[in-house]
Amino acid sequence: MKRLSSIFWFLLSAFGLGAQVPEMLLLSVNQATPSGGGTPASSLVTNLSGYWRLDEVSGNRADALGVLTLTDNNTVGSQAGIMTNASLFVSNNLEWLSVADSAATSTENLSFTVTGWFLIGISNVQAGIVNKHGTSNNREFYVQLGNSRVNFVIFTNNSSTITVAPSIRLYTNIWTFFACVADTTLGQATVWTKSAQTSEWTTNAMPAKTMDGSNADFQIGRAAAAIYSDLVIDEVGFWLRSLSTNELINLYNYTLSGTNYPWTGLP
Amino acid sequence: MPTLTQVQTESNTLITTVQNLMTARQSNFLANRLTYWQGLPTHSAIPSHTTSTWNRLAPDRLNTHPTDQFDDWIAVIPDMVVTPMACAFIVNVYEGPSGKGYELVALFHYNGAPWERHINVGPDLSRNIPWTNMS
Repeated sequence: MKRLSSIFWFLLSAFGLGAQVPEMLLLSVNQATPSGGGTPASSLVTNLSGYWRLDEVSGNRADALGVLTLTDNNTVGSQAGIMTNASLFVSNNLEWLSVADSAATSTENLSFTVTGWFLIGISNVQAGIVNKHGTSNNREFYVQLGNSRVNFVIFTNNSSTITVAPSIRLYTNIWTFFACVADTTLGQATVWTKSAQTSEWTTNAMPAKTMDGSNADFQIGRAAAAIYSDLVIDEVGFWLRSLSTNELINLYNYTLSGTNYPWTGLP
Repeated sequence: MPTLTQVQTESNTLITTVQNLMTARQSNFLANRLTYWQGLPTHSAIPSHTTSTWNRLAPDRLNTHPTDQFDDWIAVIPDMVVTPMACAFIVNVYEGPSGKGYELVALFHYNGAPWERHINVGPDLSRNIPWTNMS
């Protein structure tokens, strides 16, 4: 088996779209070429439950895997995204995207990862990004903006929570990548936020508690059932496993290079 | 001095009234606009009752509409209830894999807890939700 080792470093200029785009990260790639030919599948497709490009200007938002199509609630809009289009949420219009609960989005006592990009116009915005959070008795996790930061909360033992809230300041009009990882093997929860202005990894311990299960909808753009959002969201992915640091960096760089699911032939 | 059941019963009567006013108009709206009509919350403050006090409120936001739709409540339902009501209403529209629909949401607070009932019109039957404490 021939093993290739490459180092890529790309520097992108900002789009002329009024939103600043971050530069790619120094990336070291070790890629194995199968001796029998064929294109290897990216590790990013392993345990991938859903990937939503959010390129549609209206109506349903397709899952790239063809399974978890998102329902449009109250006519979610669209604008230019980090890649092609993105979904535009207006809080006064009570807009959100959703798909009913299923095994593919159930995180009870499982490692999981949720990633995506967002763009905000006000730094101190309260906005729901991704969650399974219905009522106080029907919830699993949420990723929200609040207190000028990304907040990742996992609900456990029906009452307590695990919270990861980086101190990174949120910048307006700058596309920001987020990755929230719950790793039950390592017993830790991590948030990585990356924009042109800053990059921050924050990890908190996950005590050995029972993670809540629920039948709450998987939602984008609304927090719980009453907090609506003013922001733009793009390229959301959800895995029922914890992605590695390298995988997250790869995903970040692939998006900036215009490469999307299924990332065929890439690590 | 209302019980929870009394508030729900009175709200159910209002639901029936609003449904009767809305059904045909929603069908017309869909036929003409290719989308159902979305109704923003009818009240700026949700009617909030306690075991000792009724707090019926008249709707004060019937002239509001989403930024992507010109039609408010009065434009679509000119004979909408305007007297003090036991609950507020919202109309959410949706487009899912099975098609388009809408849900009429009735909501009130009772002893500080939010209660909602969702009545679905359309293919997503999971949106039919009986009176539920949403806290």
